[in-house]
Amino acid sequence: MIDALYIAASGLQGEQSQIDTISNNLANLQTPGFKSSRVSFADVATITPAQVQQGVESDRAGAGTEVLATRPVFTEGALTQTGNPLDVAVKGSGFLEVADAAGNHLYTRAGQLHVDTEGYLATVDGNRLTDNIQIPPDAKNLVIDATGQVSATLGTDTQPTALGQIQLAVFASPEALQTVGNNAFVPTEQSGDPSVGKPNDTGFGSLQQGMLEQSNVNMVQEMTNLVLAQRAYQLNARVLQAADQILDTINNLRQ
Amino acid sequence: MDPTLTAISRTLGQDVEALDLISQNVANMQTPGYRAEHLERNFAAGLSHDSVRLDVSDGALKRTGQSLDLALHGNAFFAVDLGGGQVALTRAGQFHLDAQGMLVDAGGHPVLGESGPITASDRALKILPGGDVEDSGRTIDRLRIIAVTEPQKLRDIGDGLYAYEGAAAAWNGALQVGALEQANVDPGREMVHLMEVTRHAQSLQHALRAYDEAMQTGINHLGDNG
Repeated sequence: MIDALYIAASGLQGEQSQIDTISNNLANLQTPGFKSSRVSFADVATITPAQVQQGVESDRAGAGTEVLATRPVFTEGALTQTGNPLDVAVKGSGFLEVADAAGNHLYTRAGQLHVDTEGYLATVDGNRLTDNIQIPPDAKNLVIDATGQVSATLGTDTQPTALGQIQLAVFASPEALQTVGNNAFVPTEQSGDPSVGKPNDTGFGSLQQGMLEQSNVNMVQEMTNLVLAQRAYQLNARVLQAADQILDTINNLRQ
Repeated sequence: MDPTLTAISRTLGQDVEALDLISQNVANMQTPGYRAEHLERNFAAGLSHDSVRLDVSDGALKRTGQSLDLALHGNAFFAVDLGGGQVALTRAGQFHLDAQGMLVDAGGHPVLGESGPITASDRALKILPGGDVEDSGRTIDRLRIIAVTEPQKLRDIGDGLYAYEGAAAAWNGALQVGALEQANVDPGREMVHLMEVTRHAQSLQHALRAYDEAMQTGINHLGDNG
């Protein structure tokens, strides 16, 4: 049978997931803290390493292409000034640790915080920071410094009072984190467990109050990838057509 | 079987084989570090067996800005560990750290330095253009980069990896940090091959028909008297 049909089909599927990823990246061009993803392709061979060691020679072409993984890319997005004291950006590698309603720990780079109904610092989708920092209603001049210390002037005080410490989490292999939507990630076996530490310690990055990290999607790169993916898709479709045509020719060898 | 028919069916089989290769190349147009494969027609061997030849020219470089994306030039390859003492070569320098802090390729195989797998202490691994690996500012190893001198002995084993048993030379080039080498598939060339193959199959069809007609006349009508 003509392998070319299946090989071309694997190419079409691969390009399809490439286009899906690009479109997700582009749709989140303006999402604060969003990390773009990229697809890793690899070729598929018809012989295994062990067979090569035994001296087996393959007389067939490979078996197409496969998507090894779609992994997030953790380059830093640009920081923009918002002036909102509850916006924090993480400069360097580190994630804010939040807990959802069910108590699961999620990790995010989107530091658009607000004070929830019970006075706790939470992200836009209502997940509280696991550091459980409560801001009293009469707090003024809230300051979150680069090391994560949260302090504010309470009531008629003249001196600021320390309210808590925001900690950051880092992972051995952040690329292996699983995206769960809402700009949040959960650890996997491949990413390793989070190690929690203070901002500004080596390897943890620092906090910037009044700033937001923009998405790290690079428009030019995405557009280039899109053009390439589209053309590669077309070319694969052409090969599929040609394979069909050759099958037709073979079917009609004698008329 | 009739020698003419044998020749036609064999040649048609070769067209299908060529089509498979074109298909494989086109499907892997976006695979980093993929080397295109071409059929080498060997008329001396009496059309018996065509060999597959790897195109070892450089692919285009794509800037990614990621510190563990590495690209090589010329005949150099990275070495990765397949386990069981088997080492494979690759041009796909899309590396990252795994949960244990070990430098691995996109398929999760440990990337080899001169003294074995490379492990970072606290996520601060940096590769220098000369191939030296720095961990928190300290040189800990040098990437094992192999210059392949007999590219015809490279065997594609999938996942962007190649098995190689031939001779190797020392490498002293420079690698590109923050860039990925794209596949070296030339779409124009593949398209021309595709046209060639489809038309060739059609011309074989015509040859077969002509032969069939000749046989028809020869067997059924020769000696007819009116």
